[in-house]
Amino acid sequence: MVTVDIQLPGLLAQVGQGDTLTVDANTISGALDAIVEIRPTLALHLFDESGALREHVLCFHNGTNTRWLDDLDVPLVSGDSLLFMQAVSGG
Amino acid sequence: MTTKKMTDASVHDPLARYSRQVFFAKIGEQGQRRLLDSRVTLVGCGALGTVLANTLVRAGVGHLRICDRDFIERNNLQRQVLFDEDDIAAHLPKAEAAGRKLRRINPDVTVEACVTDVHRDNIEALSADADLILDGTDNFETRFLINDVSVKMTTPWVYGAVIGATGLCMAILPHDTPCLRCVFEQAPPPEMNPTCDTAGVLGPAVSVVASFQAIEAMKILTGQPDAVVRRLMNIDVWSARVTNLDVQAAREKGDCPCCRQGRYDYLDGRFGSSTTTLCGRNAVQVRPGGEMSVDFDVLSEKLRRVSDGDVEGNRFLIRCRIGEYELTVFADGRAIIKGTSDPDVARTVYAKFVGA
Repeated sequence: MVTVDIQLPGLLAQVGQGDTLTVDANTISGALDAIVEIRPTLALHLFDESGALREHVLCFHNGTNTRWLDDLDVPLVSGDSLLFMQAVSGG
Repeated sequence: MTTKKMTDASVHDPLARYSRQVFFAKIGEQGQRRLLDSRVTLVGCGALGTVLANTLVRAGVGHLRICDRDFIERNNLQRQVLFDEDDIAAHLPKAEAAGRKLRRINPDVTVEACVTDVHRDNIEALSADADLILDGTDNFETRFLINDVSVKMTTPWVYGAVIGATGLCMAILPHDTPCLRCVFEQAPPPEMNPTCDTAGVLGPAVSVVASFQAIEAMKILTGQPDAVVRRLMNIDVWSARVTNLDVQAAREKGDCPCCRQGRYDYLDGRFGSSTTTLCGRNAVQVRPGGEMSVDFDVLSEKLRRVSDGDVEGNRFLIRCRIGEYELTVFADGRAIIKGTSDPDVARTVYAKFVGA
């Protein structure tokens, strides 16, 4: 396993009790499982009833949106980062 | 004598006012002339909107149409930079107050104040002659409506949003860069969508996000689409961090209902809220677009921060009082706003406190 930095800027930091954390995982999918294990309050905000990432939440692997990957079993290497953010409506 | 000559020159040279901007090589005289010939429609004149209007009028856009449905409240003054106590005392609508202020700042710009709710029946007329649409709104429904019009008419627009100390900005060049629905397929459900009225917002965050919007606007209006940042900008002023996120694949690999399939769901009325004035009850029902199921626990927690007294409810609805309004929100996202018979006011209250 490698250690991956997770960033939760903005609104997700409030429900995730902090805007950063680190998890140990082999893949993006494994990192998602680890995140909600460490911060259970994030589960409702990140995933819908089917377990899929909510449509207003984006996940970026090293700055690139993962929405269009065929699956999330993408191997992680040391130094990788994942950033989650949700749509913002204020103005 | 010297002073008089300088004054006369600045009066007769239409570019003199903008000399410091013209000196900047990427604008130059040609860019400034393009700005002076440009027309912009600004939708929403609150926090982001006032900074945008202020910046673009000073920069010398030729024509600015400001559309806003709201009135000024004292708690707006902390971040809505064009308004003051006198405007509140005069009960001025935001668009009108902004227009009066902006004409004093730069009388060479034509500022058109439209006190109106922007909806699917008027947005095409309000933006038909615009070179650019700017987002100063506070809700996703209007943004998706702007997005529909932008893609349909091939008019660029710049999305901006802010809450707390964070915000987002993205320029949309239709049929070139991803549109808003490419990136966010749906708006967040209300209970997961804090608004500035429930979660707060910092003035500096507004200024930074709106400034990023404004610079993208200036690039587009001066004919420099290649200079546009083709990324979703994630901005956090508290930690002084700006992250540019790659969303290009959303257009290349996705099947966006709007810019790929050519469906304008919000403009055509398939999605989007509707309102019904409840006769004799001084109340309006607001029905959000699409199907949703509200998590009452999360929404109650959000409303508790702003309600006068407790948030009451059962498994069918929750109810609270905020100022002069009583809000009753149902599990399907529908709400009855009591205390007004004006649909525009009800939509505003819904957007502020429930979210849209």
